Amino acid sequence: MTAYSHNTSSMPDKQLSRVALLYLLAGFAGCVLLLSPYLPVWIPVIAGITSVWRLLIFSGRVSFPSWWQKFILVAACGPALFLQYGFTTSIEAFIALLLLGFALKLLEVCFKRDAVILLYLAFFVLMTFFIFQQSLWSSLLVFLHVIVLLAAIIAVYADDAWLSARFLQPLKKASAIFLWSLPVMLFMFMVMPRLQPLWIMPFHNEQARTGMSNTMSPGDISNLTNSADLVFRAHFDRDVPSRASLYWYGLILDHFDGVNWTASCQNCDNEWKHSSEVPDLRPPVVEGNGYQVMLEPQNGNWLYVLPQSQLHDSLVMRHVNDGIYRYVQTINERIAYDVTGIAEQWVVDLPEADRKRFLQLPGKGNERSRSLALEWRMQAGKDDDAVIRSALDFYHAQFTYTQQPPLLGKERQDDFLFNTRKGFCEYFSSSFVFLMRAAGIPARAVVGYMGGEVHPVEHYVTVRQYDAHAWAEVWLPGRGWVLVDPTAAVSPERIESGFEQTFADSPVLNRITSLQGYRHIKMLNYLRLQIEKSEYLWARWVLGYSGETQSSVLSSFGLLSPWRVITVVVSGVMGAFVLLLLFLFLRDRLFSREHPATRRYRLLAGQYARMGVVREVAESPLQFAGRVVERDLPGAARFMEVSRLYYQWSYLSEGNRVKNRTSLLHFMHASFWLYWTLLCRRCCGKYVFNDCESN
Amino acid sequence: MLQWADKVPASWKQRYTRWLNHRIPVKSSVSLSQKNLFIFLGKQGLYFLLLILLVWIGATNFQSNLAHALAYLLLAVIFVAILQTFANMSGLRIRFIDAEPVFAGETASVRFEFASSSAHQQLEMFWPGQSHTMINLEKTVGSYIFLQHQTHRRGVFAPGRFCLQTYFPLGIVRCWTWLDLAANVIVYPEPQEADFHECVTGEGDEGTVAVHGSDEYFSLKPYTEGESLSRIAWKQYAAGRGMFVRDYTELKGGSVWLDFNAMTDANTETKLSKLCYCALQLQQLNRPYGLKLPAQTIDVATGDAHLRTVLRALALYA
Repeated sequence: MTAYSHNTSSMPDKQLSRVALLYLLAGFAGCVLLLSPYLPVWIPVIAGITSVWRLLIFSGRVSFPSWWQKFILVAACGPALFLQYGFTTSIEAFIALLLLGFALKLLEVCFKRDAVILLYLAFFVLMTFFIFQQSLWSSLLVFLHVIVLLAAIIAVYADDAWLSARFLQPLKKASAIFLWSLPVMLFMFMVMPRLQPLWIMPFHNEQARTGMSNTMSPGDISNLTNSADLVFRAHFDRDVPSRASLYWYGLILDHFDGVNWTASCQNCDNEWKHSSEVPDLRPPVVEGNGYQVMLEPQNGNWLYVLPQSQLHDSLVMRHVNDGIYRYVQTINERIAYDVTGIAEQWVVDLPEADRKRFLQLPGKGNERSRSLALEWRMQAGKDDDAVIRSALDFYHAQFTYTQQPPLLGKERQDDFLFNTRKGFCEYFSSSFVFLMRAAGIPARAVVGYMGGEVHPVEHYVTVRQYDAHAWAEVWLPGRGWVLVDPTAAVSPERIESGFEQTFADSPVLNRITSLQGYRHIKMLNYLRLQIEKSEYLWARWVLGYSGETQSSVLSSFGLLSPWRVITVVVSGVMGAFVLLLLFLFLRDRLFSREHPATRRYRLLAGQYARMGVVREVAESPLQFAGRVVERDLPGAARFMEVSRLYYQWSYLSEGNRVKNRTSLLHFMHASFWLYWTLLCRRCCGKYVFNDCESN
Repeated sequence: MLQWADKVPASWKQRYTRWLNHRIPVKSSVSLSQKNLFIFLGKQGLYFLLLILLVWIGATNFQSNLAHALAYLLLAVIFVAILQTFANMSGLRIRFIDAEPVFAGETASVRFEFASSSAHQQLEMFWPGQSHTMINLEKTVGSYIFLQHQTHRRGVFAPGRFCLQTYFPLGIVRCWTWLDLAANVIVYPEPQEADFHECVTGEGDEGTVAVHGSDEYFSLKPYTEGESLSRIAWKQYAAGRGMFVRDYTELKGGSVWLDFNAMTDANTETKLSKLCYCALQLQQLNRPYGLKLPAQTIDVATGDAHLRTVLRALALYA
């Protein structure tokens, strides 16, 4: 049995104890380590220096820095921060400022109140981690770090004497709190309604990420195909369509200047317009095999969709033109969007302006190509299909697919079509569109991804950077836009089986560190698929738990909207609370914890109270019985006897009380009859009472 | 202690006190449960809520589900903290034991017994405006806790309700109660220096006792090992005259009466303070003395018990 007490002032003005300081440092170090990949190198370095400094102070080897040392540190950090971020108010600058402040604060005497505020800020910093990284494993780390921060808060609050004897107690306590909190958190995560962003947060450094560029000049895409980075996953409501139909549209290029294909201004849409300003020319939706895309961060704002897909416009994503969709800003974090279905091809006439746009060619240059196209047109007459067939035959017969094409001369199309005849998708799509336009068929180049890895069991496709592709679309009267992939004419296996099979010995797939490199070992390939599956499920059910998923999950439980769930939950909780109160109220009456003898005597005293003799708080049983006798109330003599027995029993010390069975039994016996007699008398009148008394 | 408390209208305070007396009646022993415990977010808890709001706004603006999850986790932590903080107070049984009498102006130490079947950590206990005591209890059948209160006036002092509170474990939720365990302390009058002739009437042949500077009223005996250190004549020792003990036994004069009525001071409290001083002096001189108060007379005697009786009579004089 130990208990100790000492005088103390109230908490906030006390200095941090040594153990609490260690916890604080652990909490801080964790935050810095987690965020260090996304911060300029010098910030973690300064954080490390001040932490070690503080540890040295802690162990008594150095003293606190003098005012001028602190001044130099602050004077150095301020301009450094400014040089790094300038005047921008981006979230990274904010995090850097927070962590730097935290680091510098460590060099001062730290009061408990300050330490708590620092730890609260650390929670906020932890939240910002999710802006940069949301993968399964790093998220687990973050949530585990929450335990450390909670433990630090406990340690900071703890009484020093208590803490020094129980070094690990805060960690244990924090783990317990964490585990208890998890189910509540999961519940709230599932039912709490999500709001649209209140405002758009500015980002500072647009990290160089791989991805599409918004121009196409043969030579660009070879960079892309060298990366196995994940671009997006798409989950289909039903079976995944055949690989050959998975053309993910990203960007439509309709303007050619002789070297580069670019998106003309109707299409490029760098400025975000309200959708009301753009007439919606899209065909009506047909309910079909909908799908959800989870797009990884990238440096563009293109949303990849299958042809004729319909995407609901929202505040942050909308249709721009030509069936192409855009996000409101550069996609800096993983986003998810739903495609409800695929629309029917809606045949309308191509407006004259568009017709001109899709027939645009430079005034001169590439004359041989132009004359070849005209020759095909002469042979085919009015038949556009025949022109296309001739072109594809031409590709099929004469061209080879290669990842390392030779350089092209000044007349790019001519050089490619008549000299080198080696290249990859960009070369084919670029020259095909050129030829079509020269032959008078409206055509456009499309950049995006083709195919992807279809998961054997789940209905989803994983698309990686090496699935990048370029193809073409032509306008045929009465049929609308038709997809033509000239690469398929050259290298059908590239289209049918994808990059992995075609380039099985590519260095991208054989990197030692990547599990991709071991896909031929069955066991490891299975492992890789399992890991990918767990990451996929994480992305789909946790990261992609949008408002719509939420309503569908809730409605599967029979609950229609989050608001309704909240109503149900709140009324449920209130109901439970009322029941609990009722239980507590009744418990004392139903399951009395007082000793049966005490209870019996209380009830007896209650009977006499009804007759007008109320027992005083401090009155002894004998005094009380004396008053009852004085008033000559019914059963008074017997009550005197009962009171004496009760007095004997209850005024013996605690230990003997239990042993003294005989006096207790006497009392219980005597009081039982007295009590029932009194009760009888009250209920049935004097006659019955007299009757009982005689028994 | 609380500045805003002074601005609350007196009628409200009265109403609050009445309500509190009804809710938690004065009892010498109390068992803590939902009946007498209050619980709410502390000041830090409000900051914690602000933090959750910030995290939630961040989560909404970045549309990040994981940040939402973090916000909800922190919210869940508050719920759990409420339960844990409550559990840290609930089930504790507290009883007032006793308090040693003190002289007015001294700090009284009131003894309470704490008993519980589970551990209780970092309980803070204080009377408003008095020093705080931090309590940590292991699983225990009973342990004594002393709580200090400054005294000012003689009499029976009832310090009233004390606050027992805890923020454990996270400091964001405060669970507290205001208990009055009918604690009381006898406060003796504050001794006020006086000459014996002011308050002493002699008895028998001795007549008035000329006592001047009672310090010299003893003889010196050489110190032998084992004698009480408190009786060593430090003054003489410091002057280099060797180690002596003060010996009062040889100075047995006649017995004296401390007589309230014989005193000339106008103020009753001054009289009592002076009587208190004289009683202490006489006790030290080991002389028999009695006390005459207007309504009470305590016979001549010596010894600690007698002194206590006399002081108690002075304290309770009305």
